[in-house]
Amino acid sequence: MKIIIIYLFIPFSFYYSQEEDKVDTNPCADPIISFARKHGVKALPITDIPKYLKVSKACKENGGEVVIDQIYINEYNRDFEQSKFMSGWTSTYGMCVTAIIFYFFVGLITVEK
Amino acid sequence: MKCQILQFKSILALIVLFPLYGQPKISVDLGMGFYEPTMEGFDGNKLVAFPTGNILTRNILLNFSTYYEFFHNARVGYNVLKSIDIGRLEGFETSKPVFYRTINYRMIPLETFFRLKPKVELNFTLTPIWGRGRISLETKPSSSDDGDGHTITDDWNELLNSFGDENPLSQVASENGMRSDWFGYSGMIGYRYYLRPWIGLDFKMGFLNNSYKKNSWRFQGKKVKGPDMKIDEIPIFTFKVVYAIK
Repeated sequence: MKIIIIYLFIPFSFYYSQEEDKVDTNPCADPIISFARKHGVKALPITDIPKYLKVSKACKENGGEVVIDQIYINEYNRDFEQSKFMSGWTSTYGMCVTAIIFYFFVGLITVEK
Repeated sequence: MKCQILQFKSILALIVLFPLYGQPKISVDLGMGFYEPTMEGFDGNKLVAFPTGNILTRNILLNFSTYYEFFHNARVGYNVLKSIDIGRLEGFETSKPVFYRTINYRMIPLETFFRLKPKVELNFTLTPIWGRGRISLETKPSSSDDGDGHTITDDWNELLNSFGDENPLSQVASENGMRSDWFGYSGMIGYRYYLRPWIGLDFKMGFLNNSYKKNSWRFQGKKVKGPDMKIDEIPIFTFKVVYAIK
């Protein structure tokens, strides 16, 4: 009897064992894509860029073009919002540079040597 | 003490984690420049036939720069524009030494910018220049095979005479390069198009103004005359690829 119980117990223990976590094969669900969606690609460490490019390519091939495009659009918009206006001294500086270059080229054209 | 350790840990965590979530502030640029200097000392030299000037050795500059964005609309960096010429010199009495010439325009630009559109940026740069010219000859200790005693010193004297230096050198040591430093300034306006949020193409136009003097060359501690070059008040155009790394 003991032997029968042991022989039954061992196979059933395997049979009812915990199922393995299924590996998510969708590349668009990769943590690196989630990170890029949240913080932008530029926030990724440089060492992760090749992995990001590989995963984003796989994601595009799996129909996630919109996801990848949205990452770029968000990033462009974030940069645009940050620097669409010149603040503080930077506009004065820009004007000075423009004036210097303008007068240089005017001088170059008009001054006779 | 325990509290202080906790405080230290939290500050350290902030410092370590911050760069992970920050947008990149450092970028590396690689490209080329185009300008049109007048190098009369080389091209119009009557005594020495320098390598014939072409677009690569006269007009094209190699460009490397790195920038740090310290403000939303401003960045500061280090920029090098380099002109190179190499070839064999003709017209010397018996030898044909190999000639190297480099001109480095080293800049510390301060650049302000704004985004015209999400992918398009306009930038304005003003920078001091620390220019350095360097000429060296690679010649044999005794240049002639027939043993008439033509030495490195003779080669250098012939070169300097061709630049109008009448004061001959008595002896040349093994390190044989003449160089000159000067200061200048430059202003540029640029247009940048971002292909990706971290890669951009940058086109700049502006001017270079250098206070180069042909009499301020140095050769082994001695002041000598260098070539005539007109590198002041010249327009310059640069094109480069920008890569944001952190």
